[in-house]
Amino acid sequence: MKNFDKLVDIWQTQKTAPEVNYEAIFAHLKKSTNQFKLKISLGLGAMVIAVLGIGFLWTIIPFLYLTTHLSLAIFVLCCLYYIFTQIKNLRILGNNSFTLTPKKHIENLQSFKLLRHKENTRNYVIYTLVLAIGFGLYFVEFFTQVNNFVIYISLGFTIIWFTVCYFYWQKVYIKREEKIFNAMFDDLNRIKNQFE
Amino acid sequence: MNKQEKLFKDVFEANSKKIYHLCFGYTNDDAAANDLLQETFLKVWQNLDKFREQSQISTWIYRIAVNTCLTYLKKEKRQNKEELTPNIIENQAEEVSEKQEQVSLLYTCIAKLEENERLIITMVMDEIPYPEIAEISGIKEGNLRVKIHRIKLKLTELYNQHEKF
Repeated sequence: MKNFDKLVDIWQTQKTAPEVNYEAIFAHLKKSTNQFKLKISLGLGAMVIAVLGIGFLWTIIPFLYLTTHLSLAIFVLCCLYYIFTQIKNLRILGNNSFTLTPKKHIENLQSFKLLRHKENTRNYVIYTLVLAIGFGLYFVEFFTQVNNFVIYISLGFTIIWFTVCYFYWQKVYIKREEKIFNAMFDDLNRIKNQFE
Repeated sequence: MNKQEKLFKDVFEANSKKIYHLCFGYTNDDAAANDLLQETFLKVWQNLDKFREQSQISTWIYRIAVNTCLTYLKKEKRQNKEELTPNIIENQAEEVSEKQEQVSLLYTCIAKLEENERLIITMVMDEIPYPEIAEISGIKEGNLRVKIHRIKLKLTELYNQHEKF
């Protein structure tokens, strides 16, 4: 039988030591910062190119219908929404709460996860619907310019694509997100209560 | 090496071993403990300009380490990777002495505690003063003393139960 003081003696005789040194941390810091910046830059860059591309088409092609202008405006707004959420999330992540008390840190983490959850579920549905409306409006003028075969192909493909996305992939995706989110939230609550 | 890098190097050398113990006590996994140590000091570097000297720098680093460990668990649990990997067990079995066996058993018992208990008891065993532990964990000192008393009893009981076998 050992008492707690004896356990402390055992603890203090241990020869365990980290394998990491400060030079490795500096090297990792440079590498991870660069990778992170590259990933974010690529995502944002793609959206900026998309916005510029739409803007370019908008100025060089003399669209006749108001519905087309409306659809292009919707596409640009969707891209801007993506850029806005990415920057907003980056700012929240950058302003991290690791120096706060564990309870406050977990509360901040929960708020961020809740925000991401809303973006990945409710906002995602709205985003898809708005995009579908955009395509619908765009097709009004497009269909006056092409023959019946192209109309049927475009319409059929778009309807199938949106049906599969909306009634299958979106539901699977949201269900998976809900599952991860609920498990994580329960865990965070449990740990937060330990620091009451 | 500029002034801030020199400060970071000194801070790392003075605190890394104890932070590693905290991370190892939390995960009971050497590779994970090294990852957490690295992540902690990355955050220390990124937040060094926010340190206001209202407390000791070691207290501030411990708090970052505690929060890093708590956040890490979320990823770990999702991956269902709660046990030691066979490779690590084999490596540990290579040089087994009685002292190492006792240390290993102690870590196994710590791993059976609740998350906050693991973090608090490793700080207690590394002889961090109670007011500092209270500041790191954000728990009132009176409550903390009661908690520590309970954790000590729990860990001693676990250790003695395991030692019999």
